Amino acid sequence: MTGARGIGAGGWSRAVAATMAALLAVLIVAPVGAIFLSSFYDGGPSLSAYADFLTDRRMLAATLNSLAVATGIAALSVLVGVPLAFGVARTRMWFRGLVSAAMILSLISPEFLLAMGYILMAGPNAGYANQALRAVFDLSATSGPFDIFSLWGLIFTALPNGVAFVFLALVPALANMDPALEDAARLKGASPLRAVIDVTLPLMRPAILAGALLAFATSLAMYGAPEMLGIDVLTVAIREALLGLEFSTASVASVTLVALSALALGLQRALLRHGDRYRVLGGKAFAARRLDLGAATHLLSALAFLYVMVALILPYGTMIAVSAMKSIGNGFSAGNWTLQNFVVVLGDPSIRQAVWLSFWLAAVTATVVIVIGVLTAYVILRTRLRARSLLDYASILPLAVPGTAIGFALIVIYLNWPGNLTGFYGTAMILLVAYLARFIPIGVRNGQSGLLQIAPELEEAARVSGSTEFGALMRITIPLMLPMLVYTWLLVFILAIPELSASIILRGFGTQTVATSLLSVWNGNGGLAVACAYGVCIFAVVSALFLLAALVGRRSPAIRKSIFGGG
Amino acid sequence: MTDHAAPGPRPGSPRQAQDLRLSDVRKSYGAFTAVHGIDIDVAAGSLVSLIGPSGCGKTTTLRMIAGLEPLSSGRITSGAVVLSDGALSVPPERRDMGMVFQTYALWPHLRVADNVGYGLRRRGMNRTEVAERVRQVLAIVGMDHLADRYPGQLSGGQQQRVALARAVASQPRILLFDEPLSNLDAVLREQMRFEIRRLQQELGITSVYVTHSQDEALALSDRIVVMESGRVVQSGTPTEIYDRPRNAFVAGFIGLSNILDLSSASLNGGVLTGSYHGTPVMAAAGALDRAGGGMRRISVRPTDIRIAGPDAPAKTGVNRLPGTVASTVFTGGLVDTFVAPDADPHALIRVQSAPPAPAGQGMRVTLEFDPARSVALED
Amino acid sequence: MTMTRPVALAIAGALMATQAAQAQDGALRIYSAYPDEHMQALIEGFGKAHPDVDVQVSVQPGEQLLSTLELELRAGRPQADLVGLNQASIAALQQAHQAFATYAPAELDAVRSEVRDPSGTSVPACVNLYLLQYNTNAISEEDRPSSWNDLLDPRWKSQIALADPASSQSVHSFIWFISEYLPSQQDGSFGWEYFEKLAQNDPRLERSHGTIRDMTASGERPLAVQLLANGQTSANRGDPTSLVWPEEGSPGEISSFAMFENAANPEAARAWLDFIVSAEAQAMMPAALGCAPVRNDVDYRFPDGTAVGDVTIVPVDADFIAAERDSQIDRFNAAFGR
Repeated sequence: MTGARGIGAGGWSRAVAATMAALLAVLIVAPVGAIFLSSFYDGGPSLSAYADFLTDRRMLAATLNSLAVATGIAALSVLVGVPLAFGVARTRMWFRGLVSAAMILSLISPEFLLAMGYILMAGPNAGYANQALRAVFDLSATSGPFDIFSLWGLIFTALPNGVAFVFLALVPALANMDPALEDAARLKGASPLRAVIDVTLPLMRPAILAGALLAFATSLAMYGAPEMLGIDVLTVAIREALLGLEFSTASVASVTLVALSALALGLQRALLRHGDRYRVLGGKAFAARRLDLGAATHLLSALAFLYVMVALILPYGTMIAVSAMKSIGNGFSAGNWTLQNFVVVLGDPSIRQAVWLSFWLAAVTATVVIVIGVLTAYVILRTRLRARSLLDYASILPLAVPGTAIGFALIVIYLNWPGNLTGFYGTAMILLVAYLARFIPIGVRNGQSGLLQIAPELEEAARVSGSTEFGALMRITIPLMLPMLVYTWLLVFILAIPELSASIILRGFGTQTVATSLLSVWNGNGGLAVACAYGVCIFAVVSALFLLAALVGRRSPAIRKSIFGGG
Repeated sequence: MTDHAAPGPRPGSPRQAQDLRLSDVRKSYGAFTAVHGIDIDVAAGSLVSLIGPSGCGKTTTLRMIAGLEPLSSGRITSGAVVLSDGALSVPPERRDMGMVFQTYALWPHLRVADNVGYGLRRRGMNRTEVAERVRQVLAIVGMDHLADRYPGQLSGGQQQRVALARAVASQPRILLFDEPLSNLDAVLREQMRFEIRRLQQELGITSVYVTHSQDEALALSDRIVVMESGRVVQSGTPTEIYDRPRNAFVAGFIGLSNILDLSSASLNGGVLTGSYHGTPVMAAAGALDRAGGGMRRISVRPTDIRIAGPDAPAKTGVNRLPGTVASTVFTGGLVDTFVAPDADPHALIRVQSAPPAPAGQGMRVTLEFDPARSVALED
Repeated sequence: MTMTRPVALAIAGALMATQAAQAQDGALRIYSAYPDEHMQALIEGFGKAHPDVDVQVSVQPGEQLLSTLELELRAGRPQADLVGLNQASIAALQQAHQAFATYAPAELDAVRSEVRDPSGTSVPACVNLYLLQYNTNAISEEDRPSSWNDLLDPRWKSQIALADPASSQSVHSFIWFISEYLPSQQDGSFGWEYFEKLAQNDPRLERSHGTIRDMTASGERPLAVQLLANGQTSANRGDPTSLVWPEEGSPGEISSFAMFENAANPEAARAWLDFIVSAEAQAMMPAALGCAPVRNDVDYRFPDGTAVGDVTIVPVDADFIAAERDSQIDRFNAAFGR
């Protein structure tokens, strides 16, 4: 070494930044661009697709349905989620642990499983809950009182998930609140409940709204439940338009969907930033004091019981029961019980193929996502390259793009030049591309929060001690981020296994995934009882994996903060 | 994955110390310039302190030496090797340096021995050699009994020793310290200060030490570089800096100082003569070569002033200022006496002497100080 | 996933080099609108004669499969060798893309002439009939409807399920039967007027006949316009359901297979088509695809014991359905006020 070299510090990170930028451009920017560009294209630049959309009665109805369902879910989620969060964080109500567990399970288990359970329970003619209610109250009607195949039914189906968003946004805020704020109100003569209503709830407003907006955005993106209930919402309309090969309709529906989600998520982020700036919950962690609300505690306990029953035990219990029936028509009768449905699930070659494909996709996706996540987070947080804020924005973009819209975008890209040259269309590769786009935000965000926990000096010390930038990353940074990486891997894996909305649009020969094959079993290629057995197996696997992730997560404070935090 | 092996002699074998030279080194972030073209020479085997208030650019300079921060312009060389030349830069891992960080930056997932041995492994030593060398170095800092602990299980002082051992383990060409003692308590800080000095002198490694503590700088350094707002204000041996501060900033930052404003100043053969509110005062001109329009400031250290009785006879060649004692403060080893001079009753001149207090509050006194210990300042 | 075919082909190539031209081997990929459980028996039967062929099936409901194929054909690479759809859908795809090869299986002559595809593209496998299926727990044998016209009775309000022509390819046969065929044959409230009246009874429009079968079995929709194949499955399962042969007759759609022009494994594809019309496969059809054989020399009775000869089977006009698919959907939606 006798002189300075041209390639020195920064050469490696520049190369990484360029690679990440290229990957994000292909995986994220191109699809989002394709959605928008295709909506303005009709042989040439044109607004005709928008004009058609605005005069299409079914599309307008789908848009209104989407908005109604999302708004309803957001509002009801607040109504149910706030008391439950308060009950768990600040009171001595019963079932606190059970409620928290039910919330997590609601978030990680796909909504179409719940829809299956609810259809069996609340189908207007033969739903078990309806039959039971009619029997108990001696109603002469042959149908109702519940009708799951309605807008309200869809709202009800997605409610446990929405409630969980509000609940998880609120519990940490409530648990860390300075009790002196309520004490001050008490000293002025307010009752404990009054103090909560006058002081605590207003302080929680940003967290409540953020949770509600997240529930809103997630409800807009949902595909499985409305499809199974036969409710025309935007995601279903996109799929229908694609089935009819009406690309311009699909593109405008996608733009509408993306715009609505982006609006909700933008508002949600602004609220959280706002909330940080005017933080009354100091950095100091306060021990949450539990209030004695007297009789009101029992009301909360009742609500908690109801939630756990309705969100978890009844639907999955029904599925378990049906999964063991020979014929669903003979119901809970002797001689109608069998394990044959599970034998079918475990032995069916196409189910086995779907399970393998989903596991393969989920494993590859999780692995690539954490690699992209760590490297992108590294560029964003550890370099001063000008491109880093672009990477930051690009990497969170997919949060606002529902899977259905990503599926549509990838069809446009990989059906036309130059995407068609890859030969990805109709193969598992196009599913992988979709999964990566969907889950990169989780990788980059968790990568950032993991990296923020590691002082840059630790890497610098390694550099001075003779490590290259890459060597320091591999030997120091990555080992230190390991719990976070393992956790993120498991989280992405869990969320990718039941991916439905993009998979169903992109499936081709032999590329049925767990979710699409479950849906096709439910839709007659096997039947309800087999579908229930299949669903019960999926639920068991996903829950077990999440338990594992939670155990890993316990080891890192960064993870506890990041679990689903802010979507 | 094998990292680039550092050049030069194998770690563990004796080697020739190398100097370090910064020429016109500049660093700016956009419109803000953190370091304005500074020059620093560190002689082979010596320890140079960079001292200054926070934000003066001393840490940025150290990081540029380490290669952790690219230069905007200028050169850094060591012996015949160019480390940085403008935007061209040898990456940190090929600079053959050791560094002790303010936070120690010990890797929490590695045991003490692995922390210390990390750089040796990167430099291609085999396991047995590394183990041997780690044992030696840990013994030098008195940490050999804790080699199997993780950093989280050590006290602050122990972590500091491990950080030191890690920095010197590979016998680097240059040793860098970034305020290494600022997280320790006062007693431990003083103890570690001597250990660092002893170790640096034993190993004879050229060192740069960043600190904001004058005590550390004075006790440790062969030379001190005082920085302010990204510029070098003065550099020299600790005695030079202390005895001949160039300006009020240096005088005040390194040690305590009384700054007196003189008017009608004139230079005469290395001696500055002027008037302190009517009282004639003389001072050593130092590097000063012009009287600067007759207005000049001088620095007099509180320990260089004697308190005599009000009627003490005048001595030739000694400055005298009559005044009244405003207050006395006892601080243990020293007594601070604050005197309001008759010439400028609003000012307070601080005098430090060994107890007991030479005069009580309200007493009339005469302050006597040697012109040779009074320094004319450049500003 | 993408490795399967090249690897299988490479192995196939190696085998052929040593064993001379031993007929068919390698992977045979079939896109099918027929459920997995229906295909399974056929695959097993085929496997006995052709043990070296690895048959892979990808199942999608008919209308979705149509759109999948449409997009894959646009991308220029269908992912399968064969497709199993009804004759009308295959005809529609052939009109748009000319994607299928013509092939006449060796025993095609034994197939009833009225179900053969005159263009020679699709090979008929069986006849799938529309009929009524009802839940025997919810509806007694005396109360059950006996004709298509009976479905308009208000007492079946909110009890009926029917496939949605936007999602189901098969139901186009039924819609053709009601809207085109019956008005030309007899009086009565047929034609689009029938669907307008049916809409008053608020039938549930489902995406696939399999879903409808389960809804009928569970009692959620105890009465359904159903395909024979699903009635057969219900019977096999022991569901509490039974079938009605409507007085006006039953439209029969022809479940078929066709091979792609550029199939990767044409030998195996031809072998499959040969097998489908063989007496052996035809005897399997009721148990496999759940529908009536297309050869006269194969004996068959419907699951409720009715003999084929006692049922009025009306072969559907595949060309009309292929050509008018979109406008039929629009008219259907108009009748249902959507």
